[in-house]
Amino acid sequence: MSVNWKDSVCRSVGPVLLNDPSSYVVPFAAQALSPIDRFYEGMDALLQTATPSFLASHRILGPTFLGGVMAASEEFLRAIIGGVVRVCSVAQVCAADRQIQLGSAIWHGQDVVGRGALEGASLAGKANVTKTVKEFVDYKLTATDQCWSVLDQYERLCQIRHAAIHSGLVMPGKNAVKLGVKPVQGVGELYVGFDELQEAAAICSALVATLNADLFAVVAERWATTWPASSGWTAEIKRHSWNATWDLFYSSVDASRGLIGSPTTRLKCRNAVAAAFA
Amino acid sequence: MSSNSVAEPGDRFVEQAEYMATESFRRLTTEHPQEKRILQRLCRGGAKLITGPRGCGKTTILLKAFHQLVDDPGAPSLPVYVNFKASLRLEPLYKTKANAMYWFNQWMLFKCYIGLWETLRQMDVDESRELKERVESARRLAGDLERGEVPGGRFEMSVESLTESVELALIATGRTRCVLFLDDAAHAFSPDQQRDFFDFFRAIKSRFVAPKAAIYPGVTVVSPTFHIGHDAEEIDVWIDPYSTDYLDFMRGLVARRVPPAVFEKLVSSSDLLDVVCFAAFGMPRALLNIIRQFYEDDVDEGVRVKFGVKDVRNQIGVAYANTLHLYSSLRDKLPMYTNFVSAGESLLERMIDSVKSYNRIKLESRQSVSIAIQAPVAPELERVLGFLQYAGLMMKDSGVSRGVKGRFDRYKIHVGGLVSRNAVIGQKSTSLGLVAKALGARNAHEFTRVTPSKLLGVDDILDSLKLALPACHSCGTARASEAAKFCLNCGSPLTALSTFKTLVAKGVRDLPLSKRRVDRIREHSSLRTIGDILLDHEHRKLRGVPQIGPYWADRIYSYAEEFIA
Repeated sequence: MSVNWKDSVCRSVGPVLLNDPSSYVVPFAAQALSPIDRFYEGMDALLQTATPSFLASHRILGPTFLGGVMAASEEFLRAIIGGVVRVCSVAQVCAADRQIQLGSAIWHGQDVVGRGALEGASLAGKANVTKTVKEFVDYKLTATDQCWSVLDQYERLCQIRHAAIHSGLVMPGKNAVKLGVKPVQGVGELYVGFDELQEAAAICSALVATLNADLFAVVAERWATTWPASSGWTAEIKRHSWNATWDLFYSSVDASRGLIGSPTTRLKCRNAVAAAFA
Repeated sequence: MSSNSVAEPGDRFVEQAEYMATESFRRLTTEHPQEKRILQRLCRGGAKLITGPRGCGKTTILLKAFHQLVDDPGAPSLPVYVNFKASLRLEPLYKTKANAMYWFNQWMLFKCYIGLWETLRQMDVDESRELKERVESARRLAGDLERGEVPGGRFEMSVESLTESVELALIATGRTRCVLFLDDAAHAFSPDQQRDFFDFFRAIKSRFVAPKAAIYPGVTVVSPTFHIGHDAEEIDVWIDPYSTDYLDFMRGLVARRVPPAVFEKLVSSSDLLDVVCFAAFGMPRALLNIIRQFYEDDVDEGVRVKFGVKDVRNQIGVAYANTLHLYSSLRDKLPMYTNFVSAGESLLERMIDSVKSYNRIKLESRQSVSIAIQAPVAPELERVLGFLQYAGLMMKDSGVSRGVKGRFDRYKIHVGGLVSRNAVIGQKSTSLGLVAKALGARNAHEFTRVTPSKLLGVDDILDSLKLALPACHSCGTARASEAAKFCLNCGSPLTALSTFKTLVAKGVRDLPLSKRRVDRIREHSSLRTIGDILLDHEHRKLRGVPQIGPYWADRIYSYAEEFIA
């Protein structure tokens, strides 16, 4: 009997099929939350699972959790920037020239501005985040913004994330060199234990909170100074637009944890902003 | 020591060099035993770190170097003196602002600009308008940050712009390099600020700028990218109490700072004076604090001196207790290390007991003042020993090898502790004269050897030295580990209280004031906390209290500043 040499190195496989892509998609349960609260919900679920003992006995899952935390951060970035475009007329003018894919418009429908606008934008790394904020919000982030120094750390984390998602846990040389990782013997494996995951989550959480605060300051100032100049501005529109702004940025989770630095109500905050720019 | 050098009442007891008027400083300081060598190294190029506990003379030596360079028109180095004492006021930013590092960096630059301005002013050099404007901005913005207010607007001072200003100043003064004296740079109670300071220190170092920083031993943690020895040379300025010229130096210091009649009386009981000098354990400030308790300068009755054996024993005990109090205050300043601080207290007691047992059976000429701990020592124990060094309770000595028995790290123990516990000679009633002779004749080869576990009294050292990590403020669940940043139960970020806010909330009682004075302050003013004193503009409220005039108001304010430094 002659040898079928082509079948002599590994198993043979029959047909495989992605049966129903719809089974991979379920309605998003947290839609009513602000982007920051949605981020917290996702991150909390990940971190509460990734205990020291769990990660110690499931070493392979560390990078997966890291990928999850960073995916939650990117989702926040898309949601918050998209949200600003939805509520802010200045951002709308700036983003008017940006293109979206027809598929995004078909899929997201009415929410295409909020959800679909940033589907094509890369938000990995500091340069991409600052570029996207400039292109869609018309705001240039600088060193005096709280998120600036966090973006430096986020940039470094993105290098590590690249290994987690794209390189099968092997640390790519380009990323290792950019990070200044000490050379190891042989191939470097990406390791994400409890300490590393907590640190990464702290960076992502800090990015979310600071960018949320920085963009709120920008949009609130525009509400007080620039939007009233647009035609058809009425007291009713003023009230609605403030409420939309507040709902976009306010974190009920931070409020319930007593973490808001200067707690106040939606109305009092509105009055304070109006007074600050009167 | 000329009679022109005697202290006036107004500046006699301003023990801290940075608060002395320049003229008084020049007149009243005595030459440090290693002064020439140290000043030479400080006035030259190259990055240096000068180390020593509180009160050992770091600021004095930096200011001496500063004045020496200002006064010498032929000197190649342009000195700039900057005091970072107020740095802890910015620590709350590290709890609330993600860009705290940016603002702290800016603050350090602002202080350097102000220091540069001061130097040019002292040297009567015409400053450029641009520098003048920058310095005005710097003063305003540094003040904002010290009040906890983040300045609005967009601006930036950078290491590059500072270096540019320094280069222009070098041209204007005809000097070739700038020596930057960065005092109180330890930021001991804020590891974040320590790390950022060393990054700043490395960044500011250049062909034209040679930074020198004063840090505390034992509690200074450098950033991972900073290497002592490579990035900066270390200079220990803590005076060895057993060095040959120690007693001469300390006596010279006393002679300059007390009225001649008092000094005569002190010197007439030479052995007692020597014991007091030894008990100061190499810290000039401690010596002056002890000495001032032995006399009163009354306007009507003149000078009265009480300098007997009982007085000396009493004051050595009080001074040692104050040093122990400084050590114990680390619980407030580094709450995470509260167990370590407690371990250090027991450790110190055991070390003194060890020395006492050793000395009891030894001749006067073979007394020990040191302990040798078997190396290597676990990092946790190193930290405990570091805290003891920070407070000036132990002084690191050279290591010693005992062949097969291993290597030992040696430490000298605070003489005040040894004398208070009668550990020198170790007999029931030992005369202080004998103690003085024994300390003067002590042999460096006499020391007690111990293992770390024997010292701590436990077999498993790590078990006894655990960090006191605060629980989740939201749900009260204990932290999973030191590295945990989020509560595993509720997901809340795990926050630490601001050290600065904790310290300024402490009561006036926590300052080294008599109960009577504290009660008077509370009765006659609204001042209740350390923070209230620091915010008391021009000490108005303090001066409204009976028997608190300008002198005591300044002194109480300086105690409050020291408390948070």
